[in-house]
Amino acid sequence: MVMKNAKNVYHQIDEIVKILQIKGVKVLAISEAWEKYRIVRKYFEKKPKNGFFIWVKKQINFPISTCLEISKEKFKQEITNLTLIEKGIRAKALMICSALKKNLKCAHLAKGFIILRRNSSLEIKHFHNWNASDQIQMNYNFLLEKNSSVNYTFKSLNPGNVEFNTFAELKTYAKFEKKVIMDSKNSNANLNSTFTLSGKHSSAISTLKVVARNKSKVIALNKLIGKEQSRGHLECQGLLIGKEAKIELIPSLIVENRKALLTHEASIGKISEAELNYLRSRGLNEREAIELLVTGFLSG
Amino acid sequence: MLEIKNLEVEVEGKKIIRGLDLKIGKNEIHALLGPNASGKSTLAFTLMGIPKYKVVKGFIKFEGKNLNRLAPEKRAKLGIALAFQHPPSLNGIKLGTLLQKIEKQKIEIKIPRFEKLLEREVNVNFSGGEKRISELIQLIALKPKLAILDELDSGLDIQTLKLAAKLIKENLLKSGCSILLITHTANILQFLNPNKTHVMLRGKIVCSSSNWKKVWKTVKTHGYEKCEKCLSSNR
Repeated sequence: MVMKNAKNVYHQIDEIVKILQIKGVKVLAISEAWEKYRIVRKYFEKKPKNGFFIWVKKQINFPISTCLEISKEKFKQEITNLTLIEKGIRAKALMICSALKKNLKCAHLAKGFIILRRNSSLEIKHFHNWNASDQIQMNYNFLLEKNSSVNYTFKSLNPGNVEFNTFAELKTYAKFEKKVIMDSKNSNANLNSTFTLSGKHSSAISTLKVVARNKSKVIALNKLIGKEQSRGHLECQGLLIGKEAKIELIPSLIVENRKALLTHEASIGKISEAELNYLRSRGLNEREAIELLVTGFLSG
Repeated sequence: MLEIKNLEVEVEGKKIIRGLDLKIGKNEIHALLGPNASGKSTLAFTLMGIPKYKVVKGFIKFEGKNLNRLAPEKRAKLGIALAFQHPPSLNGIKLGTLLQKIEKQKIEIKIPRFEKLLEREVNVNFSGGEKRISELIQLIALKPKLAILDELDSGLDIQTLKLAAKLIKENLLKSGCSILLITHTANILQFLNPNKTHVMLRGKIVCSSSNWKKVWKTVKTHGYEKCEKCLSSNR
Protein backbone atom coordinates (compact mmCIF):
# COMPACT_ATOMS: atom_id res chain seq x y z
CA MET A 1 0.00 0.00 0.00
CA VAL A 2 3.03 2.32 -0.02
CA MET A 3 3.56 4.99 -2.65
CA LYS A 4 7.11 6.25 -2.65
CA ASN A 5 8.21 9.81 -3.45
CA ALA A 6 4.69 11.22 -3.44
CA LYS A 7 4.43 15.04 -3.62
CA ASN A 8 1.86 16.49 -1.29
CA VAL A 9 -0.05 19.03 -3.40
CA TYR A 10 -2.91 19.72 -0.98
CA HIS A 11 -2.71 19.61 2.81
CA GLN A 12 -5.55 20.75 5.00
CA ILE A 13 -5.53 20.63 8.79
CA ASP A 14 -8.91 21.70 10.12
CA GLU A 15 -9.59 24.78 7.92
CA ILE A 16 -5.95 25.71 7.21
CA VAL A 17 -4.85 24.87 3.69
CA LYS A 18 -1.42 24.53 2.10
CA ILE A 19 -1.15 24.09 -1.64
CA LEU A 20 1.92 23.06 -3.57
CA GLN A 21 2.11 23.82 -7.29
CA ILE A 22 4.07 21.40 -9.37
CA LYS A 23 4.81 21.32 -13.06
CA GLY A 24 2.14 19.61 -15.10
CA VAL A 25 -0.49 19.69 -12.33
CA LYS A 26 -2.90 22.54 -11.59
CA VAL A 27 -3.91 22.64 -7.94
CA LEU A 28 -6.39 25.21 -6.69
CA ALA A 29 -8.80 25.69 -3.82
CA ILE A 30 -12.14 24.46 -5.15
CA SER A 31 -13.80 27.85 -4.58
CA GLU A 32 -11.19 29.61 -6.72
CA ALA A 33 -11.39 26.91 -9.36
CA TRP A 34 -15.20 27.23 -9.46
CA GLU A 35 -14.86 30.90 -10.35
CA LYS A 36 -12.13 30.26 -12.90
CA TYR A 37 -13.17 27.12 -14.76
CA ARG A 38 -16.40 26.20 -16.45
CA ILE A 39 -15.78 22.49 -15.93
CA VAL A 40 -15.85 22.96 -12.18
CA ARG A 41 -19.13 24.84 -12.40
CA LYS A 42 -20.46 22.02 -14.56
CA TYR A 43 -20.18 19.61 -11.65
CA PHE A 44 -21.10 21.92 -8.79
CA GLU A 45 -24.06 24.22 -9.12
CA LYS A 46 -23.18 26.21 -6.04
CA LYS A 47 -19.71 27.45 -5.25
CA PRO A 48 -18.12 25.01 -2.81
CA LYS A 49 -16.36 26.45 0.21
CA ASN A 50 -13.57 24.01 0.97
CA GLY A 51 -11.69 21.38 -0.91
CA PHE A 52 -9.44 21.07 -3.90
CA PHE A 53 -9.37 21.02 -7.66
CA ILE A 54 -6.54 18.93 -9.04
CA TRP A 55 -6.03 18.91 -12.76
CA VAL A 56 -3.32 16.61 -14.02
CA LYS A 57 -2.59 18.08 -17.41
CA LYS A 58 0.75 16.58 -18.28
CA GLN A 59 2.47 13.30 -17.58
CA ILE A 60 4.22 13.28 -14.22
CA ASN A 61 6.59 10.60 -13.01
CA PHE A 62 5.75 10.70 -9.30
CA PRO A 63 2.57 10.18 -7.29
CA ILE A 64 0.68 13.19 -5.99
CA SER A 65 -0.81 13.16 -2.51
CA THR A 66 -3.54 14.95 -0.61
CA CYS A 67 -3.85 15.07 3.13
CA LEU A 68 -6.97 16.03 5.06
CA GLU A 69 -6.61 16.11 8.82
CA ILE A 70 -8.52 17.24 11.87
CA SER A 71 -6.95 18.36 15.11
CA LYS A 72 -9.78 20.29 16.78
CA GLU A 73 -12.44 18.83 18.97
CA LYS A 74 -15.91 18.62 17.38
CA PHE A 75 -14.56 20.13 14.17
CA LYS A 76 -16.67 19.58 11.07
CA GLN A 77 -14.54 19.35 7.97
CA GLU A 78 -16.62 19.69 4.81
CA ILE A 79 -14.68 19.08 1.63
CA THR A 80 -15.68 19.19 -2.01
CA ASN A 81 -13.13 17.92 -4.50
CA LEU A 82 -12.70 17.60 -8.21
CA THR A 83 -9.87 15.63 -9.75
CA LEU A 84 -9.40 15.65 -13.47
CA ILE A 85 -6.93 13.45 -15.32
CA GLU A 86 -6.33 14.59 -18.87
CA LYS A 87 -6.27 12.42 -21.99
CA GLY A 88 -3.58 9.78 -22.08
CA ILE A 89 -2.10 10.70 -18.68
CA ARG A 90 -1.10 7.95 -16.24
CA ALA A 91 -1.24 9.22 -12.68
CA LYS A 92 -0.92 7.91 -9.16
CA ALA A 93 -2.48 9.47 -6.09
CA LEU A 94 -2.13 8.94 -2.38
CA MET A 95 -5.01 10.23 -0.24
CA ILE A 96 -4.78 10.40 3.53
CA CYS A 97 -7.63 11.47 5.81
CA SER A 98 -7.22 11.28 9.56
CA ALA A 99 -7.89 12.56 13.04
CA LEU A 100 -4.69 13.76 14.65
CA LYS A 101 -5.88 13.04 18.19
CA LYS A 102 -8.16 10.65 19.98
CA ASN A 103 -11.68 11.53 21.17
CA LEU A 104 -12.10 14.59 18.95
CA LYS A 105 -15.69 13.67 18.11
CA CYS A 106 -15.08 15.35 14.78
CA ALA A 107 -16.78 15.01 11.40
CA HIS A 108 -15.18 14.55 8.01
CA LEU A 109 -17.64 15.06 5.16
CA ALA A 110 -16.10 14.67 1.73
CA LYS A 111 -17.69 14.62 -1.68
CA GLY A 112 -16.54 15.06 -5.20
CA PHE A 113 -15.84 13.86 -8.68
CA ILE A 114 -12.91 12.03 -10.16
CA ILE A 115 -12.89 12.28 -13.92
CA LEU A 116 -10.70 10.35 -16.27
CA ARG A 117 -10.42 11.50 -19.83
CA ARG A 118 -9.88 9.06 -22.72
CA ASN A 119 -6.95 6.67 -22.45
CA SER A 120 -5.93 7.94 -19.01
CA SER A 121 -5.37 5.93 -15.84
CA LEU A 122 -5.31 6.61 -12.16
CA GLU A 123 -4.08 4.48 -9.31
CA ILE A 124 -5.35 5.65 -5.93
CA LYS A 125 -4.31 4.51 -2.48
CA HIS A 126 -6.68 6.01 0.07
CA PHE A 127 -6.06 5.67 3.81
CA HIS A 128 -8.39 6.62 6.63
CA ASN A 129 -7.54 6.76 10.31
CA TRP A 130 -10.27 7.90 12.70
CA ASN A 131 -11.71 7.09 16.08
CA ALA A 132 -14.95 5.36 16.99
CA SER A 133 -16.47 8.70 18.07
CA ASP A 134 -15.79 10.39 14.69
CA GLN A 135 -18.40 10.73 11.93
CA ILE A 136 -17.22 10.13 8.40
CA GLN A 137 -19.22 10.60 5.25
CA MET A 138 -17.87 10.27 1.74
CA ASN A 139 -19.60 10.53 -1.61
CA TYR A 140 -17.35 10.02 -4.61
CA ASN A 141 -18.36 9.90 -8.25
CA PHE A 142 -15.98 8.41 -10.78
CA LEU A 143 -16.51 9.12 -14.44
CA LEU A 144 -14.37 7.00 -16.74
CA GLU A 145 -14.23 7.98 -20.36
CA LYS A 146 -13.35 5.62 -23.20
CA ASN A 147 -10.43 3.29 -22.53
CA SER A 148 -9.55 4.85 -19.18
CA SER A 149 -8.88 2.91 -16.00
CA VAL A 150 -8.96 3.32 -12.24
CA ASN A 151 -7.32 1.13 -9.65
CA TYR A 152 -8.62 2.27 -6.29
CA THR A 153 -7.68 0.83 -2.91
CA PHE A 154 -9.27 2.16 0.23
CA LYS A 155 -7.87 1.01 3.54
CA SER A 156 -9.07 1.91 6.98
CA LEU A 157 -7.96 0.08 10.09
CA ASN A 158 -9.73 2.70 12.24
CA PRO A 159 -12.75 3.80 10.24
CA GLY A 160 -14.91 5.65 12.78
CA ASN A 161 -18.62 5.71 12.02
CA VAL A 162 -18.54 5.81 8.29
CA GLU A 163 -20.87 6.15 5.37
CA PHE A 164 -19.00 5.64 2.15
CA ASN A 165 -20.80 5.96 -1.17
CA THR A 166 -19.06 5.37 -4.45
CA PHE A 167 -20.61 5.72 -7.88
CA ALA A 168 -18.75 4.91 -11.03
CA GLU A 169 -19.81 5.20 -14.64
CA LEU A 170 -17.69 3.41 -17.20
CA LYS A 171 -17.64 4.13 -20.91
CA THR A 172 -16.33 1.89 -23.71
CA TYR A 173 -13.33 -0.23 -22.71
CA ALA A 174 -13.06 1.55 -19.37
CA LYS A 175 -11.87 -0.53 -16.40
CA PHE A 176 -12.37 -0.11 -12.68
CA GLU A 177 -10.74 -2.17 -9.96
CA LYS A 178 -11.80 -1.29 -6.47
CA LYS A 179 -10.66 -2.81 -3.21
CA VAL A 180 -11.98 -1.79 0.19
CA ILE A 181 -10.22 -3.07 3.29
CA MET A 182 -11.77 -2.16 6.60
CA ASP A 183 -11.23 -3.21 10.20
CA SER A 184 -14.17 -1.91 12.15
CA LYS A 185 -13.19 -2.08 15.81
CA ASN A 186 -16.26 -0.59 17.41
CA SER A 187 -18.17 1.46 14.90
CA ASN A 188 -20.88 1.45 12.29
CA ALA A 189 -20.12 1.36 8.61
CA ASN A 190 -22.40 1.79 5.62
CA LEU A 191 -20.59 1.01 2.42
CA ASN A 192 -22.37 1.50 -0.87
CA SER A 193 -20.92 1.09 -4.32
CA THR A 194 -22.60 1.31 -7.69
CA PHE A 195 -20.79 0.58 -10.91
CA THR A 196 -22.66 1.38 -14.08
CA LEU A 197 -21.14 -0.37 -17.06
CA SER A 198 -22.56 1.80 -19.78
CA GLY A 199 -19.86 1.32 -22.39
CA LYS A 200 -19.15 -1.72 -24.55
CA HIS A 201 -16.37 -3.92 -23.18
CA SER A 202 -16.20 -1.97 -19.95
CA SER A 203 -15.34 -3.96 -16.83
CA ALA A 204 -15.40 -3.59 -13.06
CA ILE A 205 -14.09 -5.71 -10.21
CA SER A 206 -14.99 -4.74 -6.70
CA THR A 207 -13.44 -6.48 -3.71
CA LEU A 208 -14.51 -5.85 -0.15
CA LYS A 209 -12.81 -7.27 2.90
CA VAL A 210 -14.29 -6.18 6.16
CA VAL A 211 -13.75 -7.12 9.78
CA ALA A 212 -16.38 -6.29 12.39
CA ARG A 213 -15.37 -6.48 16.05
CA ASN A 214 -17.08 -5.82 19.36
CA LYS A 215 -20.36 -4.00 18.68
CA SER A 216 -19.56 -2.95 15.13
CA LYS A 217 -22.29 -3.04 12.53
CA VAL A 218 -21.29 -3.15 8.89
CA ILE A 219 -23.66 -3.02 5.96
CA ALA A 220 -22.22 -3.20 2.47
CA LEU A 221 -24.29 -2.86 -0.66
CA ASN A 222 -22.37 -3.45 -3.86
CA LYS A 223 -24.22 -3.01 -7.11
CA LEU A 224 -23.22 -3.73 -10.68
CA ILE A 225 -25.36 -2.54 -13.56
CA GLY A 226 -24.58 -3.98 -16.98
CA LYS A 227 -26.09 -1.67 -19.58
CA GLU A 228 -23.87 -2.83 -22.41
CA GLN A 229 -21.78 -5.84 -23.35
CA SER A 230 -19.53 -5.74 -20.29
CA ARG A 231 -18.10 -7.77 -17.44
CA GLY A 232 -18.24 -7.25 -13.73
CA HIS A 233 -17.47 -9.15 -10.56
CA LEU A 234 -18.17 -8.44 -6.91
CA GLU A 235 -16.29 -10.19 -4.16
CA CYS A 236 -17.30 -9.49 -0.59
CA GLN A 237 -15.81 -11.18 2.45
CA GLY A 238 -16.66 -10.46 6.05
CA LEU A 239 -15.01 -11.63 9.23
CA LEU A 240 -16.90 -11.40 12.50
CA ILE A 241 -15.06 -11.11 15.79
CA GLY A 242 -17.16 -10.80 18.89
CA LYS A 243 -20.66 -11.95 19.67
CA GLU A 244 -22.31 -8.56 19.18
CA ALA A 245 -20.77 -7.63 15.85
CA LYS A 246 -22.87 -7.76 12.69
CA ILE A 247 -22.08 -7.78 8.99
CA GLU A 248 -24.61 -7.59 6.21
CA LEU A 249 -23.32 -8.04 2.68
CA ILE A 250 -25.68 -7.29 -0.18
CA PRO A 251 -24.35 -7.94 -3.64
CA SER A 252 -26.66 -6.72 -6.37
CA LEU A 253 -26.41 -7.52 -10.08
CA ILE A 254 -28.60 -5.77 -12.61
CA VAL A 255 -28.32 -6.85 -16.20
CA GLU A 256 -29.87 -4.67 -18.89
CA ASN A 257 -28.00 -6.17 -21.80
CA ARG A 258 -27.92 -9.87 -22.62
CA LYS A 259 -24.22 -9.70 -23.39
CA ALA A 260 -23.31 -8.38 -19.97
CA LEU A 261 -21.69 -10.96 -17.69
CA LEU A 262 -21.92 -10.11 -14.02
CA THR A 263 -20.95 -12.36 -11.12
CA HIS A 264 -20.57 -12.17 -7.37
CA GLU A 265 -19.21 -14.07 -4.40
CA ALA A 266 -19.99 -13.22 -0.83
CA SER A 267 -19.11 -14.89 2.45
CA ILE A 268 -19.11 -14.05 6.13
CA GLY A 269 -17.23 -16.14 8.62
CA LYS A 270 -15.64 -16.15 12.01
CA ILE A 271 -12.09 -16.88 13.10
CA SER A 272 -11.38 -20.56 12.58
CA GLU A 273 -10.75 -22.47 15.81
CA ALA A 274 -8.23 -24.67 14.00
CA GLU A 275 -6.21 -21.67 12.81
CA LEU A 276 -6.43 -20.01 16.21
CA ASN A 277 -5.23 -23.13 18.05
CA TYR A 278 -2.47 -23.66 15.52
CA LEU A 279 -1.08 -20.20 16.22
CA ARG A 280 -1.54 -20.61 19.97
CA SER A 281 0.47 -23.82 19.76
CA ARG A 282 3.23 -21.64 18.29
CA GLY A 283 3.28 -19.52 21.44
CA LEU A 284 1.02 -16.64 20.40
CA ASN A 285 -1.66 -15.77 22.93
CA GLU A 286 -5.28 -15.57 21.79
CA ARG A 287 -5.19 -11.82 21.13
CA GLU A 288 -1.94 -12.00 19.17
CA ALA A 289 -3.23 -14.95 17.17
CA ILE A 290 -6.47 -13.12 16.27
CA GLU A 291 -4.54 -10.01 15.21
CA LEU A 292 -2.31 -12.07 12.94
CA LEU A 293 -5.28 -13.87 11.40
CA VAL A 294 -7.09 -10.55 10.84
CA THR A 295 -3.98 -9.10 9.19
CA GLY A 296 -3.82 -12.18 6.98
CA PHE A 297 -7.52 -11.94 6.13
CA LEU A 298 -7.28 -8.29 5.15
CA SER A 299 -4.12 -8.70 3.13
CA GLY A 300 -4.94 -12.01 1.49
CA MET B 1 10.92 -34.64 31.46
CA LEU B 2 7.42 -35.77 30.45
CA GLU B 3 5.31 -37.92 32.69
CA ILE B 4 1.79 -39.04 31.80
CA LYS B 5 -0.12 -41.02 34.38
CA ASN B 6 -3.43 -42.82 33.98
CA LEU B 7 -4.58 -40.29 31.39
CA GLU B 8 -8.16 -40.25 30.18
CA VAL B 9 -9.21 -37.79 27.50
CA GLU B 10 -12.60 -36.94 26.06
CA VAL B 11 -13.34 -35.18 22.80
CA GLU B 12 -16.84 -33.74 22.53
CA GLY B 13 -18.08 -36.15 25.18
CA LYS B 14 -16.46 -39.25 23.67
CA LYS B 15 -13.67 -40.95 25.55
CA ILE B 16 -10.68 -41.50 23.28
CA ILE B 17 -7.74 -42.05 25.63
CA ARG B 18 -8.41 -44.59 28.33
CA GLY B 19 -5.76 -44.81 31.01
CA LEU B 20 -2.48 -44.00 29.28
CA ASP B 21 0.91 -44.00 31.00
CA LEU B 22 4.09 -42.69 29.37
CA LYS B 23 7.45 -41.32 30.49
CA ILE B 24 9.94 -39.59 28.22
CA GLY B 25 13.37 -38.55 29.45
CA LYS B 26 15.60 -35.71 28.26
CA ASN B 27 16.96 -36.10 24.73
CA GLU B 28 15.15 -39.42 24.27
CA ILE B 29 13.31 -40.41 21.11
CA HIS B 30 10.06 -42.28 21.67
CA ALA B 31 8.05 -43.70 18.81
CA LEU B 32 4.31 -44.17 19.17
CA LEU B 33 2.85 -46.66 16.73
CA GLY B 34 -0.77 -47.50 16.29
CA PRO B 35 -3.50 -48.01 13.73
CA ASN B 36 -5.83 -45.26 12.59
CA ALA B 37 -8.20 -44.01 15.31
CA SER B 38 -6.17 -45.54 18.13
CA GLY B 39 -5.84 -42.13 19.80
CA LYS B 40 -2.31 -41.10 18.74
CA SER B 41 -3.24 -37.68 17.40
CA THR B 42 -5.61 -37.14 20.33
CA LEU B 43 -2.62 -37.63 22.62
CA ALA B 44 -0.61 -35.12 20.57
CA PHE B 45 -3.38 -32.48 20.73
CA THR B 46 -3.90 -33.15 24.44
CA LEU B 47 -0.20 -32.68 25.15
CA MET B 48 -0.35 -29.37 23.26
CA GLY B 49 -3.44 -28.27 25.22
CA ILE B 50 -5.85 -27.83 22.29
CA PRO B 51 -9.07 -26.83 24.10
CA LYS B 52 -11.53 -29.43 22.80
CA TYR B 53 -9.36 -32.29 24.15
CA LYS B 54 -10.46 -32.56 27.77
CA VAL B 55 -8.43 -34.40 30.38
CA VAL B 56 -11.01 -36.10 32.56
CA LYS B 57 -8.66 -38.24 34.61
CA GLY B 58 -4.96 -38.58 35.35
CA PHE B 59 -2.26 -35.97 34.72
CA ILE B 60 0.43 -34.76 32.36
CA LYS B 61 3.56 -33.39 33.99
CA PHE B 62 6.29 -31.60 32.10
CA GLU B 63 9.50 -30.94 34.01
CA GLY B 64 7.47 -31.56 37.17
CA LYS B 65 4.75 -29.03 36.30
CA ASN B 66 1.17 -30.24 35.89
CA LEU B 67 -0.07 -29.17 32.46
CA ASN B 68 -3.71 -30.13 32.80
CA ARG B 69 -5.08 -26.58 32.89
CA LEU B 70 -2.41 -24.83 30.88
CA ALA B 71 -3.25 -23.00 27.60
CA PRO B 72 -1.44 -24.06 24.38
CA GLU B 73 0.65 -20.87 24.23
CA LYS B 74 1.85 -21.43 27.81
CA ARG B 75 2.85 -24.99 26.97
CA ALA B 76 4.70 -23.65 23.93
CA LYS B 77 6.55 -21.22 26.19
CA LEU B 78 7.47 -24.11 28.50
CA GLY B 79 9.06 -25.86 25.53
CA ILE B 80 6.44 -28.18 24.07
CA ALA B 81 5.92 -28.03 20.33
CA LEU B 82 3.72 -29.99 17.96
CA ALA B 83 4.20 -30.64 14.26
CA PHE B 84 0.62 -31.00 13.02
CA GLN B 85 -0.39 -33.87 10.77
CA HIS B 86 -2.98 -31.66 9.05
CA PRO B 87 -1.90 -28.06 9.64
CA PRO B 88 -4.50 -25.44 8.62
CA SER B 89 -3.90 -23.00 5.76
CA LEU B 90 -3.30 -19.44 6.91
CA ASN B 91 -4.39 -17.16 4.11
CA GLY B 92 -2.46 -13.92 3.83
CA ILE B 93 0.21 -14.94 6.37
CA LYS B 94 3.61 -15.75 4.94
CA LEU B 95 5.68 -18.43 6.61
CA GLY B 96 8.50 -15.88 6.99
CA THR B 97 6.14 -13.50 8.84
CA LEU B 98 4.94 -16.27 11.13
CA LEU B 99 8.51 -17.30 11.92
CA GLN B 100 9.37 -13.70 12.87
CA LYS B 101 6.49 -13.74 15.35
CA ILE B 102 7.27 -17.07 16.95
CA GLU B 103 10.98 -17.66 16.73
CA LYS B 104 12.99 -18.00 19.87
CA GLN B 105 16.08 -18.54 17.78
CA LYS B 106 17.00 -17.06 14.43
CA ILE B 107 17.05 -19.92 12.02
CA GLU B 108 19.10 -20.02 8.91
CA ILE B 109 18.30 -23.24 7.22
CA LYS B 110 19.14 -23.52 3.58
CA ILE B 111 17.03 -26.39 2.35
CA PRO B 112 17.30 -27.34 -1.29
CA ARG B 113 13.89 -27.38 -3.04
CA PHE B 114 12.27 -25.48 -0.16
CA GLU B 115 14.06 -22.10 -0.34
CA LYS B 116 10.97 -20.15 -1.37
CA LEU B 117 8.72 -21.59 1.31
CA LEU B 118 9.24 -18.55 3.57
CA GLU B 119 7.72 -16.22 0.99
CA ARG B 120 4.56 -18.29 0.62
CA GLU B 121 1.37 -18.18 2.68
CA VAL B 122 1.49 -20.82 5.41
CA ASN B 123 0.21 -24.15 4.10
CA VAL B 124 -1.69 -22.51 1.23
CA ASN B 125 -1.33 -24.90 -1.71
CA PHE B 126 1.62 -26.58 0.02
CA SER B 127 2.39 -30.10 -1.11
CA GLY B 128 2.52 -32.85 1.54
CA GLY B 129 6.31 -32.56 1.69
CA GLU B 130 6.23 -28.77 1.93
CA LYS B 131 3.78 -28.99 4.83
CA ARG B 132 6.06 -31.37 6.73
CA ILE B 133 9.15 -29.25 6.15
CA SER B 134 7.24 -26.09 7.08
CA GLU B 135 6.14 -27.74 10.35
CA LEU B 136 9.72 -28.73 11.10
CA ILE B 137 11.07 -25.25 10.36
CA GLN B 138 8.51 -23.77 12.75
CA LEU B 139 9.41 -26.28 15.45
CA ILE B 140 13.10 -25.56 15.08
CA ALA B 141 12.36 -21.83 15.41
CA LEU B 142 10.49 -22.52 18.66
CA LYS B 143 13.57 -24.25 20.14
CA PRO B 144 11.48 -26.82 22.01
CA LYS B 145 12.46 -29.18 24.81
CA LEU B 146 9.87 -31.70 23.65
CA ALA B 147 8.87 -31.99 19.99
CA ILE B 148 5.79 -34.03 19.13
CA LEU B 149 5.87 -35.05 15.49
CA ASP B 150 2.45 -36.26 14.39
CA GLU B 151 2.68 -38.52 11.33
CA LEU B 152 5.59 -36.52 10.01
CA ASP B 153 6.57 -39.40 7.73
CA SER B 154 3.21 -40.19 6.16
CA GLY B 155 3.18 -39.60 2.42
CA LEU B 156 6.78 -38.44 2.21
CA ASP B 157 9.10 -39.56 -0.56
CA ILE B 158 12.40 -41.07 0.54
CA GLN B 159 14.40 -37.94 -0.27
CA THR B 160 12.16 -35.65 1.82
CA LEU B 161 12.04 -38.27 4.58
CA LYS B 162 15.84 -38.26 4.77
CA LEU B 163 15.82 -34.47 4.78
CA ALA B 164 13.27 -34.40 7.61
CA ALA B 165 15.37 -36.85 9.65
CA LYS B 166 18.48 -34.74 9.03
CA LEU B 167 16.70 -31.58 10.19
CA ILE B 168 15.50 -33.36 13.34
CA LYS B 169 18.95 -34.69 14.17
CA GLU B 170 20.86 -31.50 13.48
CA ASN B 171 18.43 -28.95 14.84
CA LEU B 172 16.40 -30.66 17.54
CA LEU B 173 18.31 -33.63 18.94
CA LYS B 174 21.66 -31.84 18.99
CA SER B 175 20.24 -29.19 21.28
CA GLY B 176 18.95 -31.79 23.75
CA CYS B 177 15.33 -31.91 22.61
CA SER B 178 13.22 -34.98 23.35
CA ILE B 179 11.07 -36.36 20.54
CA LEU B 180 7.73 -38.13 20.49
CA LEU B 181 7.39 -39.60 17.01
CA ILE B 182 3.83 -40.54 16.15
CA THR B 183 3.63 -42.78 13.13
CA HIS B 184 1.62 -45.58 11.67
CA THR B 185 4.03 -46.35 8.84
CA ALA B 186 7.25 -46.39 10.90
CA ASN B 187 9.07 -45.07 7.80
CA ILE B 188 11.08 -42.52 9.73
CA LEU B 189 12.25 -44.89 12.47
CA GLN B 190 15.08 -46.33 10.35
CA PHE B 191 16.66 -42.87 10.28
CA LEU B 192 16.10 -41.90 13.89
CA ASN B 193 16.37 -45.20 15.79
CA PRO B 194 14.12 -44.50 18.80
CA ASN B 195 15.11 -45.30 22.37
CA LYS B 196 11.69 -46.72 22.99
CA THR B 197 8.75 -47.75 20.84
CA HIS B 198 5.18 -47.90 22.10
CA VAL B 199 2.10 -49.40 20.52
CA MET B 200 -1.22 -47.71 21.12
CA LEU B 201 -4.53 -49.47 20.74
CA ARG B 202 -7.99 -48.22 21.69
CA GLY B 203 -6.62 -45.27 23.66
CA LYS B 204 -4.00 -47.16 25.65
CA ILE B 205 -0.35 -48.06 25.32
CA VAL B 206 -0.42 -51.84 25.11
CA CYS B 207 3.24 -52.52 24.42
CA SER B 208 6.56 -50.76 24.95
CA SER B 209 9.89 -52.00 23.71
CA SER B 210 13.41 -50.74 23.20
CA ASN B 211 13.63 -52.70 19.96
CA TRP B 212 11.58 -50.88 17.35
CA LYS B 213 12.46 -53.34 14.60
CA LYS B 214 11.02 -56.23 16.59
CA VAL B 215 7.81 -54.32 17.28
CA TRP B 216 7.45 -53.28 13.68
CA LYS B 217 8.08 -56.83 12.46
CA THR B 218 5.30 -58.09 14.72
CA VAL B 219 2.96 -55.37 13.49
CA LYS B 220 3.74 -56.05 9.85
CA THR B 221 3.40 -59.81 10.24
CA HIS B 222 0.46 -60.11 12.61
CA GLY B 223 -1.13 -56.67 12.83
CA TYR B 224 -1.38 -54.28 15.78
CA GLU B 225 -3.75 -56.55 17.72
CA LYS B 226 -0.91 -59.02 18.23
CA CYS B 227 1.01 -56.44 20.27
CA GLU B 228 -1.70 -56.53 22.91
CA LYS B 229 -1.43 -60.28 23.25
CA CYS B 230 2.34 -60.54 23.41
CA LEU B 231 2.55 -57.76 25.95
CA SER B 232 5.05 -59.40 28.24
CA SER B 233 7.31 -61.05 25.65
CA ASN B 234 7.89 -57.80 23.71
CA ARG B 235 9.06 -55.73 26.62
